Amino acid sequence: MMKNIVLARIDDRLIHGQVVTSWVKHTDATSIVIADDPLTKNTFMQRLLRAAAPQGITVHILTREEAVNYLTGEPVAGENIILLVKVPEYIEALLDGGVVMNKVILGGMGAKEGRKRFNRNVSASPEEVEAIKRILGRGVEMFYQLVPEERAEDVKKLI
Amino acid sequence: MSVFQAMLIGLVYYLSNSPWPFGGLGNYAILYRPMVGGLVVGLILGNPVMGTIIGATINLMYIGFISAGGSMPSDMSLAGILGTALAITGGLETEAALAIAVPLGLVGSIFWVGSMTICTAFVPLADRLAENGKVDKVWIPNVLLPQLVKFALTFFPCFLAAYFGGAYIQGFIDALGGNVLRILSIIGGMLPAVGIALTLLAIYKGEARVFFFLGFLLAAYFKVPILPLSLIFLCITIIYMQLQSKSGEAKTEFAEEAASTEPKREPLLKKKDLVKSWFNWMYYFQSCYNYERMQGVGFLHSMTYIIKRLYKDDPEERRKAMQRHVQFINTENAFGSAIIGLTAAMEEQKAQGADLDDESFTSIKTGLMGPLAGIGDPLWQGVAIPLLIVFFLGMAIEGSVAAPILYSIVFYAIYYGVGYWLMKLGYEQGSKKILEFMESGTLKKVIAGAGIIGNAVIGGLVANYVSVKTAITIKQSAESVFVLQTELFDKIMPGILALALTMFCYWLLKKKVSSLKVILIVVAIAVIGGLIGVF
Repeated sequence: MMKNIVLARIDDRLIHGQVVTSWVKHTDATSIVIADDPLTKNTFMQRLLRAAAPQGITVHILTREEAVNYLTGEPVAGENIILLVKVPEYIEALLDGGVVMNKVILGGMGAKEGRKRFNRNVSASPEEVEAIKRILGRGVEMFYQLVPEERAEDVKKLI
Repeated sequence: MSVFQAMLIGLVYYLSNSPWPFGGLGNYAILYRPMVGGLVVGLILGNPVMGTIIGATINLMYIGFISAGGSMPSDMSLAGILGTALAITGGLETEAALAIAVPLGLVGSIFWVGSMTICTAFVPLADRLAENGKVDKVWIPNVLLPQLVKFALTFFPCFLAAYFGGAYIQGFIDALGGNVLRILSIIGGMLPAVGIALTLLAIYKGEARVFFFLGFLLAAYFKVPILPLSLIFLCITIIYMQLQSKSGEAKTEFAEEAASTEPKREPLLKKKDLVKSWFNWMYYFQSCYNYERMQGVGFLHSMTYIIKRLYKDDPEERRKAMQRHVQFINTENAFGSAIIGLTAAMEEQKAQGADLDDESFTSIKTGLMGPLAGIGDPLWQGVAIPLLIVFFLGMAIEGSVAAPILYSIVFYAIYYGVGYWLMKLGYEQGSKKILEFMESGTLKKVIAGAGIIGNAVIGGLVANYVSVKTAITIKQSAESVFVLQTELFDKIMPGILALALTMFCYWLLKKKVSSLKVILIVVAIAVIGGLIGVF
């Protein structure tokens, strides 16, 4: 069983302008699932993210285990889920847990210590690049794309 | 067009992509818009009224345009500025002008990607200045170098295109002959349908949909212009929202971490430090916008006055502060002002011995930047700018030079007013109040309510400014000819073909056909229909 994921996106800003103005509308999303362990303990950030979501969009902030359980649960008719994670390792964990994703969008990973420029606004540490390679190795397609209006770049060609 | 005029036009294009004279996002909302850019180009070419009319017509294509977080699907400023310049010099009709402007917009987005790529090269210099605590020199990587690059990327292509395009366009158009010009006008009459359909894609939802038709019908049958139409529907929106029941969402209580950022401190910063910092942010936040740190260098530049005041005699702390503020940040300009105020307050606490490490700054900045942009981007680019533009657009298309000027003043006042208020909120009341402000629901209600008025005025735009007229006539007898447009369509519903075309474009976009393809389909319909005599 699988819930209907209309977009799986790696983006460490989670809910922001591109997601709210473009992706939510493009995908007709009804809810956003954020898989991030530390966030589940941070009520301030949880409230902030809920406040940033457009009206009518439910936000679920879950640990990776909870996300696996939730996403592999009974599908609800008419439900369109946007899945957001900060780093590729979470995509791996969800795949390991049995969540089916055929395509992952690489949206943004901010530059910080230990990370190097990967492509445009995506920076990644060597471990994160390895994780991206492993995800691609499992036959999951991955595209760099900020908003649906822009052309998607195949991440395979960026490695 | 003289060399001097062409140079001025190149300069306007550069300015519309620079921080001057209205600020980072201020320029993007003002000079960057074809309605305003058209007026300025008209002034340069000695015909401000024509410039305003052409610019406003080109603006129809870009009403619902949104660039969020570093994405730039098309460049309306080049379409507006160069399109208006060429149209005035070539003596083109406004509708034909629109047809040549749209391809220019597609070319323009190349400069944006180029600039964001090149500006990445200035990040190491900003880092080096931070390592050495050279707070007075941040303007070099943030303003001087990136603006030189932007000037080179924008001024020269636009200047050359205006000069040579202007010199040849007249002869070119004469050579084209009447039939090509007629078809260009048919294309230009139809193209606003694509711009409007793109806007509909964002707002044509749920209960608000009926208002699209209501606006269309009022404008089509009763010829209500856009300005009164917007005012009527503003009232209807407010009534509608008052009737809706309030939604009560349960809120979890705060944990400790939020409380720790509450400002408890002596005021070390002077008001002018704050205002200057905030002003730097409003003007230069995106001056060195680059793929690596996005607005990181701009954020450091904004913090310079704070750092100078607080760590005047402490080079070590000055270095550390500079290094923590040159990091990655990407948010919306006016709402991001809250982060400027909050960060200033936290630095003030830290200077008084509060236990705040780099990580606590980073986590609050990176935590707030996404959600603030999540509200700010749709609010400005999806609500305030398009509604205000539409409000004044009807006047502008009729040739009122005052319309773009009034638009600019109103927008600037609202934008800077909100930004300043949020900066003060962040500085004086801290993160908890920022959160409560975002949670209040008012903002979401405004965004949702804008769907109603937005649909209505967009419907009005279809009736007023999408022009599709059939040229089909049926010979009934030797003397009488049945003119399909005036004797059937106009009698049933004026603008019915415009409505049909707009809904067709919307349907294509909804089917995930890209906007470029939709434009090409509309052009094909116009060309084929024009050639075989349907239009």
